[in-house]
Amino acid sequence: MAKKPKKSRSDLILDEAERLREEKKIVDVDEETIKLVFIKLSGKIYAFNGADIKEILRFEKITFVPGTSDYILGIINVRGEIESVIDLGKIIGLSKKTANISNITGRITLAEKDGIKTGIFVDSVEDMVDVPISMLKPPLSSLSKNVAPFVSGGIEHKGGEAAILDMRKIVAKLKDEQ
Amino acid sequence: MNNNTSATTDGIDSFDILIFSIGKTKFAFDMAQVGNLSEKPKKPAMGVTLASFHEKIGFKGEKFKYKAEKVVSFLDGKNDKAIIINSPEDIVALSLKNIHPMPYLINFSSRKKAIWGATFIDGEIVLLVDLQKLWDTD
Repeated sequence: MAKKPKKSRSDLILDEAERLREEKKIVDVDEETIKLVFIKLSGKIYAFNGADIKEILRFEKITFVPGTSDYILGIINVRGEIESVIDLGKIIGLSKKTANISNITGRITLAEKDGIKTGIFVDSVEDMVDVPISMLKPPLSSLSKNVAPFVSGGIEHKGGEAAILDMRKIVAKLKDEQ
Repeated sequence: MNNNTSATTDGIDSFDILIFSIGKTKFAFDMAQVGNLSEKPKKPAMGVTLASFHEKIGFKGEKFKYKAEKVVSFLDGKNDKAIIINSPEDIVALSLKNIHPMPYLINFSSRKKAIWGATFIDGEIVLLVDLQKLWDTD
């Protein structure tokens, strides 16, 4: 019977490395993930919890409704249903002026949280990714004092860090505005 | 054109609305609240208060040039007030099935409660305005 060749040190190291990789794969499969929707607003990347975003809509005509708060851009027709559209930049203090609906382009993300459904105007939707919970970070300390109250955490995204916006805090602010 | 609401045993199932535009937004009054629709007089009649629609509805600080001003009087028998609107575009029968309530945030944030719903006419959103609430709330 032929003797099994003795494994070299490098072979053993490689075996161990592969075993560890397999273990990590198992951990990765089991790890809880969160879907994040990355959006661009005023030139910066932010993320929403995907569970709060019901749809991403092509930008279409927004009908202005006079007499409403400054953060309301108007209403839109979503397959025969009427939904409000809010100016997120105005709410979280990124812009002082309300966007002019007659000359803006972008996307509308349809969000729902705590029983409130509304379109949120954003410059663009950049990405939609499942991220392991372990990759979430606490909010950056360098966030502006306007934005910080609406942020629940941070996440690395394409070499930078995106603040994760908390829809619950945004909805609470909407209710406080009145 | 029919100024009467048509009724069923369950109550009304449709009513006529008067459609007009201010800027790029379309509005409509329930014809059951509208008295007369007439040319704007050079001087308002004695005892009649006139107000522009865009000011009453809450277009803040914006100026609008109406193509053809018309005056809508109220069907309340008082003849003491009237609203100036842009020339009406149409009067159509609106089925109750085609009325949509305003979204929560619109109702919630609205300083006036005159806009009570919306409908689609030729694919465009038309805001339904209660003429009496429009006058009563400032």
